[in-house]
Amino acid sequence: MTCAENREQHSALLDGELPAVARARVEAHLAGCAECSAELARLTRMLGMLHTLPAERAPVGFVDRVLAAARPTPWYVRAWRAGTQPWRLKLPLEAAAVVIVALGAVYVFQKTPELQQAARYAAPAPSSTPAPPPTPSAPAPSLTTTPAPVPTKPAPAAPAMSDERGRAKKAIPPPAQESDRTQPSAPAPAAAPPSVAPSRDASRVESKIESSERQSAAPAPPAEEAAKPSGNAVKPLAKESGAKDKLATRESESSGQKKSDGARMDTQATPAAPTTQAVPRRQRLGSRAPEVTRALVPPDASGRLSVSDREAAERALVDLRGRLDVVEAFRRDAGEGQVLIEMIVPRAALADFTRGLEGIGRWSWDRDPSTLPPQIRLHILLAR
Amino acid sequence: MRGEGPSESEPFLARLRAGDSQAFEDLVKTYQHRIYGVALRMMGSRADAEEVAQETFLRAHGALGDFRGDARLSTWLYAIASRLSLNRLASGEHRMARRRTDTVEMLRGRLEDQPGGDLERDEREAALHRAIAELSEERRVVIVLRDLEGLAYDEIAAALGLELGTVRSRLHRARLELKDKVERYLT
Repeated sequence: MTCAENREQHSALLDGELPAVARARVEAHLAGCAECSAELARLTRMLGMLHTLPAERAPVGFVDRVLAAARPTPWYVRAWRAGTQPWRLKLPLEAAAVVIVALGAVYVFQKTPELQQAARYAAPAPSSTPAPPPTPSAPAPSLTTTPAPVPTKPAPAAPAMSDERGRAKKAIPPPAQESDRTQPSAPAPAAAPPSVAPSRDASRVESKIESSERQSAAPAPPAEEAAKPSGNAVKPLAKESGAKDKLATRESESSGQKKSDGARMDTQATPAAPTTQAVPRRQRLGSRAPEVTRALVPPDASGRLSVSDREAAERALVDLRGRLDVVEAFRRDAGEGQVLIEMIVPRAALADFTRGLEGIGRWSWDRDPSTLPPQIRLHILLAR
Repeated sequence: MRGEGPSESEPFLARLRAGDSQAFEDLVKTYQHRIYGVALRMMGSRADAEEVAQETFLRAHGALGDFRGDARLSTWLYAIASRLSLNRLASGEHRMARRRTDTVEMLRGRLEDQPGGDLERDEREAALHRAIAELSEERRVVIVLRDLEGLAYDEIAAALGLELGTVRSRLHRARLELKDKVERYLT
């Protein structure tokens, strides 16, 4: 055994960890090696020093702190820590909370018409800007029928929106009776400003109506909103004329959207509803308001019918209307022996109707419609 | 091993496993100084040592239900404290400068506590403390467990998860390094 090999075993020898055979070999070497014996003596003294080191003592209060920390944690604290402390759980929980709050806000908004109305009024109203001249394509107000764009509009309306619109219309009267009937799809902001001053002059009213027309030609509000007022418009007209009733029925049938609204429309368009709404408006606008409004709203088309015998021409017109299901909406004296008649002409019958007019007298177009709505408002200036 | 622990009889272990708070309090009271001592030797800082010692007992409290009794309870606690200390030191939380500073402060405080003591002995102890603190963590832990706490080789091997031969050689190297550091006090 070399000295190095012997010294490697000194620790185990001192600790009594050497097997008997190895211990005998180490001790035999130590007996003949003074240097290894001296080295073992130094190591023994060093270990003696180590063993005399005083033991450390834990600080005062250590036991109490350990026991306090080891007390069972209440279940709600554990649940809270489990849900909030690990980031892998905390982040998804926070994200879920944000989503839930957002969905709740949307739900409350949809179920609260007042909020929707407030949001609508808070948005800039497009009708507050000066109204450009009406385009021929824009549907004009009609006494007897609903405007043409109604059936072509998309129908993503929510029932709550329809309800809200109905309530808004009751609370804020539109500028005129006719605009209510002819512009059912006009959004609330367009109708809101007139509610502040509903009795202004007819030109002001006309401006509002034209604004409503522009909006109805633009991307449409929910079709169900449009369908409900149109139902209101049809009912009173049925009292005036059987042909009007027939025409209105055909119009409502042509509108798939209205049919799809079904019972909801039926229940809302009660006969009493339009009457109670229309009468006060007429009173506010005066007895001439409908005529003034109609005259100021541009028709879809217009022309001049020059005849030699006006009475004969009138009779021929009645006969022509009867054959082609054309409805006379209104008429007024245009002065100088002329009379302005508004006819509601089904698009399919326009060609026959104009040929009939040419048979009655000399017919010339003043304004040829570039696009034809299903029901054309045609102004005929009957002159000698 | 310095002193004997509380009764490691089966009834006492059963009380511990059952969550008997009084039994756990007895356990902490009995082993607090030894566990704290190991932690202080390893960490070199009283604050860190108290944290490690407290964490040792809390870990033990949470795992007592699974303690099978294969090793002695004291050995089990030493194992927890040793591994917690080594993990903390390996994690970089601990700084050598802080450890050395705290070690010097610890020794200074001890000398001040014993003004009438043997100056040469105190100096020798201070040299030993510094020498232990300067050992690598691997060597220090076996020195602490063997020469300060009195664990057997196989207990150290079990506590640290080492082979018996590794413990033997690592302990011998650590002792030789310490002997060289305090050589002048050995004559």
